[in-house]
Amino acid sequence: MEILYILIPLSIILIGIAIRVFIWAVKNDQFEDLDGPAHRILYDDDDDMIPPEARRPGTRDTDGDDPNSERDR
Amino acid sequence: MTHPSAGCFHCDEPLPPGPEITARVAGEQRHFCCYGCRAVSETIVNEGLEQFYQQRSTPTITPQAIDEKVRRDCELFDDETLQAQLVNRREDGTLETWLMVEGITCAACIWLIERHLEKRPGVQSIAINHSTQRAHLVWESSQISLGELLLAIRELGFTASPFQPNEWEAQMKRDQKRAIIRIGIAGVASMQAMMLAYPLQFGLASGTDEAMIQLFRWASWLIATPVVLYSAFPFLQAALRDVRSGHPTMDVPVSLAIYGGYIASAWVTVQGGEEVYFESVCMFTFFLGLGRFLEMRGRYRAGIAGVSLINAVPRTARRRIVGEDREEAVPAASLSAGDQVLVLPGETVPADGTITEGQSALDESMLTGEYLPVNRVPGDPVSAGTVNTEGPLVVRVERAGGDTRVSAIMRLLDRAQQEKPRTAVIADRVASYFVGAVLLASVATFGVWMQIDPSRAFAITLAVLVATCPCALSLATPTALTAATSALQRLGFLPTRGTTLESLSAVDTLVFDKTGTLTDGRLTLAGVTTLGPLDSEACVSLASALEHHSIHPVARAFGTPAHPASSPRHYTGEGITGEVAGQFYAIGTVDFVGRVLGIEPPDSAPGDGTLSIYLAGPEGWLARFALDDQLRPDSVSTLELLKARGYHLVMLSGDRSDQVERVGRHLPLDEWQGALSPEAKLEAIRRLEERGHRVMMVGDGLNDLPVLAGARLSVAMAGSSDIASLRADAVLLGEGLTPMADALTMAPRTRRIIRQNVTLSLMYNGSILPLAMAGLVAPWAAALGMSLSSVVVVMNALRLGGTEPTGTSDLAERGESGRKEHPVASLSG
Repeated sequence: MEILYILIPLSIILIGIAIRVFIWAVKNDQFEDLDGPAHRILYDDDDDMIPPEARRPGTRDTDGDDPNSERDR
Repeated sequence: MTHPSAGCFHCDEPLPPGPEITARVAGEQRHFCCYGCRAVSETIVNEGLEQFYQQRSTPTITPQAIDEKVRRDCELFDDETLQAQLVNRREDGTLETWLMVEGITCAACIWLIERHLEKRPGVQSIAINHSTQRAHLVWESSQISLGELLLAIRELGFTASPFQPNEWEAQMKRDQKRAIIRIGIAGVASMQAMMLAYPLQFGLASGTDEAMIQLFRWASWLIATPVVLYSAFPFLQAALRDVRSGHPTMDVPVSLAIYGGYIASAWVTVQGGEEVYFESVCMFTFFLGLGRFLEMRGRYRAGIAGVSLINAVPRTARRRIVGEDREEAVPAASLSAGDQVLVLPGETVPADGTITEGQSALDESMLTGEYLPVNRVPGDPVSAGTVNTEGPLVVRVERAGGDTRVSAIMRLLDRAQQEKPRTAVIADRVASYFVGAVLLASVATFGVWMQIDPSRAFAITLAVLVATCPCALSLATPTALTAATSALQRLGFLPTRGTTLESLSAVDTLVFDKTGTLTDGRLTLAGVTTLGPLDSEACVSLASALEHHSIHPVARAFGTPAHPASSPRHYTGEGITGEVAGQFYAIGTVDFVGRVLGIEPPDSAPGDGTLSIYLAGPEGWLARFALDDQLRPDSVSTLELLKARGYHLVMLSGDRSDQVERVGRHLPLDEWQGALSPEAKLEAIRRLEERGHRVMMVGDGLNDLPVLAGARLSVAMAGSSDIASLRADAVLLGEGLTPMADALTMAPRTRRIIRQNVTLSLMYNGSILPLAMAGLVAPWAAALGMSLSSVVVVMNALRLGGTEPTGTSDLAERGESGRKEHPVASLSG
């Protein structure tokens, strides 16, 4: 159990680092918008990043189902 | 396949009669209600952003077509003196500003604006905050100007205006960041402290190795120190303030438990003793901090919602340059007495003054509550905050900035707020008894044990402090309020203060403003009488074509035309003439239309108090339109419901017209009064309170502000001026009063849950106290009891969020129909 004499101080140092990182993140506005990321993930706006050979032909046109049905909800 | 019968593809408004407006969007022929919608839709598709139409969850607002005036408004922001106030130059030479974006209805709108702006050359970054709907924009001034960027947002049908975050907002932001850090530290520390407490409490590390126990205790102490000194500091601050003012709130027992537990545990670590309670201290701080943070976020959001304070008084003014026939854009705050300013139609008057040139109708509803614009000619006084609706005006400034009437109302507001009657909050009443009881019990325990066994006295007193730790008690109110608040927010009623719901259950008298509260606050078409060969639909469509070029409130009643009239001419206070399909038409007062077309007036209008507008063309008289500021669709039903529940209903209006009486007779009111100044309204509320009534005020405009502040409880309507929603105790989020009835149902239930919670937690504290005083409570049992009682309280509070209050089933339906109602659709009624 003597290993705890090293592990516990070590864990305290790690918490210290974690808290420092957290404070840095808050100060850099990372927690400014708490709702946005949940919505942003839903948009397929990474078309440009897909390499041409991996792209399915006509992806952008065919995945558009009828917008009217979408609106009627 | 197309849907000609359905609404506009872009904004979902009904399609107007007449020639169809179509375009190919996403591979299909789509129909639009106006050219504005089609233009926006084409912009979206041309940039490959048509995904917007699949992602959006609510219909988009109908965009305003971009004309010369919009362009001019945007270009105004390219002015250097103005930019000096609004724009910051960053270190790398780029410019940055914050924008307030109006018209965002869902997350898809934000996505659309961000993508659209990113495609402009020179835009470095654009980020819109989903909670506050504010944008942070960084761009290179060499490639694109601020005016062009604002115009780009207009192209999508949204309106953006730059602003500098004001003092309140900056403060709120700093507080919020600090609160997140406080909770974060408390959360991480609680987990670590619990990990260290587990072996201590269940004897895994004890018995054999005394040094190991000390290691665990010292480590826990180290971890708990930042929590107590930083995370729990606000509780200590509040407690000290309470003690000084002699009104103990929940903060006093909370601080007593946190700091008492911490100091005593530290003492035990150094001097030796039975138990340490560092993990309880951390956990307690974390839970309470989280509750406070959620409350603060609700308040912040309510403050930001709606129009901003800066919109009440315009930030820019067009000042005449002496000796030249042109204007320069200046910040409204820099105006001084004697300046001449130009106020174009649609703009807000920047300062109090006198008209020197031009005549126009001014919309003064924000200040007086009158629903019709008032005609003003040279020599008449004008007030800051009123809106010019017809012709350009030149105003000589007499009072600007802090001396205007708006500012005077603000000062009255501050005074009224200080003298506001208050409802006692359960938690605070309990707290004052609780503090006394805990202190008494601790002192008694210590005294008695000093007699019996002085060596254990300290440890047992500490156990008493922890056992009576008011964790469940201090969660009793906030959890119930948070659950009720989030349930009410879904229904469209947003409480902005912690005490709102409790005060709400005490209210027995409801006072309403008229314009904008019981009524829509804008003119709508109440009826059409055809006088010629054309049917009413054709007449309305002609009228909307003619009125398209006007921003008078009358014009808005006719909706957006498919094809605006050509060569329009405005006659201030009289009407408009123009050509539709090559034919000459006139719309306006009966005398005006008769004079312009040279025809005899028709039979006189029925004197029902509504505003009558006439339309005539080459065929002779065509129609009479009755215009009125109509009651909100749910005013009558909501008021009847409230009346049936026994509330005393009062209407206080600033309006001088006979509309007050008509509305008063039509609604189930107990009392009503018109032509009241803000001061008189406040006086009326005070008289009601003196008669023993507990008053809630519902209003929207600037003229209601002092009353809102002076009432025991105040509710601001959606779209109220920002100051109103900032100072109000609650804000109605939708168009309509129904959510208020729900809130009045919810409030007593919330109060009941709070009482149950308080009773439950007091029962726990009461039953464990004697055991702790006798020295019989094992520390793990104390920790378990504390957690269990808290869980029970939280679960009980969650019952509030689960059930739907009455009167909500038809709310969505009513809200929908209210929003979409087209003037033509209401004619049959």
